[in-house]
Amino acid sequence: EVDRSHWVSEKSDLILESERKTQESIKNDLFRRVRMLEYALHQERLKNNQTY
Amino acid sequence: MITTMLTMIRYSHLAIFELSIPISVYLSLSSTDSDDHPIAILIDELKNDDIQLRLNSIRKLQSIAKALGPDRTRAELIPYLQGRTTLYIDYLLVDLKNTDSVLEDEDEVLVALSEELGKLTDLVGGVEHAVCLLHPLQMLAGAEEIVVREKAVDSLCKIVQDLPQSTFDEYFLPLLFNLSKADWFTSRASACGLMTVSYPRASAENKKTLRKSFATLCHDETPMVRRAAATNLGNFAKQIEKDVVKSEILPLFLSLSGDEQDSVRLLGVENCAIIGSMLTNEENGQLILPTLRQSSQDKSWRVRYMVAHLFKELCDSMGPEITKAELVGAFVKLLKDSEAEVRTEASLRVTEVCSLISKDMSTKQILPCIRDLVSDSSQHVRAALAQVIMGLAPIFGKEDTLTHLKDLFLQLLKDDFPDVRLNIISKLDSVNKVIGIEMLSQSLLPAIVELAEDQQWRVRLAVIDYIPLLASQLGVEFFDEKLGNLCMTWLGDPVFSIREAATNNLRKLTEVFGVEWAKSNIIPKVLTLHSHPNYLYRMTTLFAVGVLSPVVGSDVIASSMIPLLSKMVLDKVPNIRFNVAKTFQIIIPLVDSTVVQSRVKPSLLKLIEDPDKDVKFYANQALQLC
Repeated sequence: EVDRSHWVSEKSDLILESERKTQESIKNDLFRRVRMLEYALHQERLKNNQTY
Repeated sequence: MITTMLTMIRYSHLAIFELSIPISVYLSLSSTDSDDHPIAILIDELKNDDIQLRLNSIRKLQSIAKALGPDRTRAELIPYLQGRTTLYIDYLLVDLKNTDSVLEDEDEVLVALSEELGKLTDLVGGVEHAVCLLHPLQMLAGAEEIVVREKAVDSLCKIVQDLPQSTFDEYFLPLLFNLSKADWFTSRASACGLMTVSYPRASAENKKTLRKSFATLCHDETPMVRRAAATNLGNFAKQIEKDVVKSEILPLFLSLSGDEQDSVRLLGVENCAIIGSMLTNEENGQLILPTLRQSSQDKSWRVRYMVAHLFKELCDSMGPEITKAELVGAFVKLLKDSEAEVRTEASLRVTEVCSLISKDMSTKQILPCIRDLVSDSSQHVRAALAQVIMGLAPIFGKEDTLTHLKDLFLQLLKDDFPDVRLNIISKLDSVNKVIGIEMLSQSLLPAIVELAEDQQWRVRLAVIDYIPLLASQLGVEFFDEKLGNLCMTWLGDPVFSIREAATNNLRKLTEVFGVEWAKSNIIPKVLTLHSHPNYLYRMTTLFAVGVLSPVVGSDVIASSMIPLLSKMVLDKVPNIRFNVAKTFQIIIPLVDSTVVQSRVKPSLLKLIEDPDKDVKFYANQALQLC
């Protein structure tokens, strides 16, 4: 009985851990995308300012 | 704020290490601003092991394209997606030999990619440049997995509609011809799906070539391609001039309908309906009817099943004359088919077919079959018939319904299989409209009463659900006379679901007949149940009180329900006692606070002293509402 509850809690920990990792990498990916768009916007602004 | 930003930046660098990029790429990334290079980001994301992340990445392909701008999307992103092995992008030199191409990813990712490519037209610089999307989609249209191919074909169809004429002639048509001549069958099957959209835009000469390659596809050696061709044949024919349909498409149609594979032949049935609707009645008689006749007697039951399934559409496209002369006969044969599946499908169409032909014909030709089907050996056939047979009443009219159909209804009502009985009960009202309530009650009510005491509790449940509707149609007097007692016996049913449904039924009846009626008819009978020796039935009283109290008004509650509840507080079974407390919870908001204080609260205070902890708990809950 104790073993079983131990096992269950360990397993749910593992699941939570892997979920956390996935969320983390999603966040990283999104973060890079934001920076990419910021950079693109920056470049665009520079180009436009030169033409003024 | 600043600290969070700092941690985020730290994370982003960590991410680069974690993503296990080859060192060479990483160095080239870190040496310049190209860390933010959109394609580098895409490559990294697609390297992830988690498929969900790769899918996310492809789903957001548009943001990559937006960051790149139209020119670079065409020059850099599209070639990458096509899987070119080496890319020279600005200052970013990525050797892709070691990285897997997107096109070798899981099918799920490819489906997403096919879909996203279809939405990219604006982001590659509008319709003038949409041509660059064609090649990657062509590759996806040759994929092994059918879902990927279908999505790619959908996207191609979407793009073709907007392509300028010159691009269409110069790039799209050659692509289509390439697909239709490809070595691997997957591309050829995809080509079939593209014919319909491209035909109207092609020049006269190209139209001819298109028809020719379609003909080749119809005679393809693999059944998969022939199936794709048969699926698209009808819609393709719709785009074509009528005389050409007769001279060129009909032979293809005939050859596919006579195919050796039944999976190809059955697709031809739908084409009968589509092509048939394009031709005149006479032409249909000459050209389509022989095929149809042959399909309805096909040796494969799946083909016959298709004919039964699409019978109404076929009748509509063939016109009333052919229907009367030929199709009714074929239908009768399908109703007598040796396969139960075919009979089931044909039975479901009985009402539709009878509404298309004269009453005389229905009585003479269809009715005898229906009589046989009522006692069919397959329960599914009978259930299918029971689903639609009631619809015949308006078609036959009052007299004929009584003489011919009534007995069939009765027989189905007494069927062994519960679904059959259920299907009949649920459609009683359409018969009611035709033969009137008098006739219905005389002939069908005895059977309904019998069903109310059916062995199967699901059937009894179905009857209960139908009672409020029946009651509103029959009127108070009739109801009291014939059905009133029935509703009360359900309260004492051995199955809980029936008792529960019966209590809810009482509320609906009160809504139909009014509070006064309930006061004199229902409530006294419900209240007598409280002295039943079995506590489960005593509980039914409580449930009935709980359900009825919201509709009967505070006077009735105060005069008859509260005294009863006060009496049941002393019940010896704890389950009853805590259900009394629960019922009080429902009643308290419905009556005056003076009544609550003087008559409800004392009972609850008694219950709170109860030795049973559940009783205490619910009594406490109820007291909080006082």
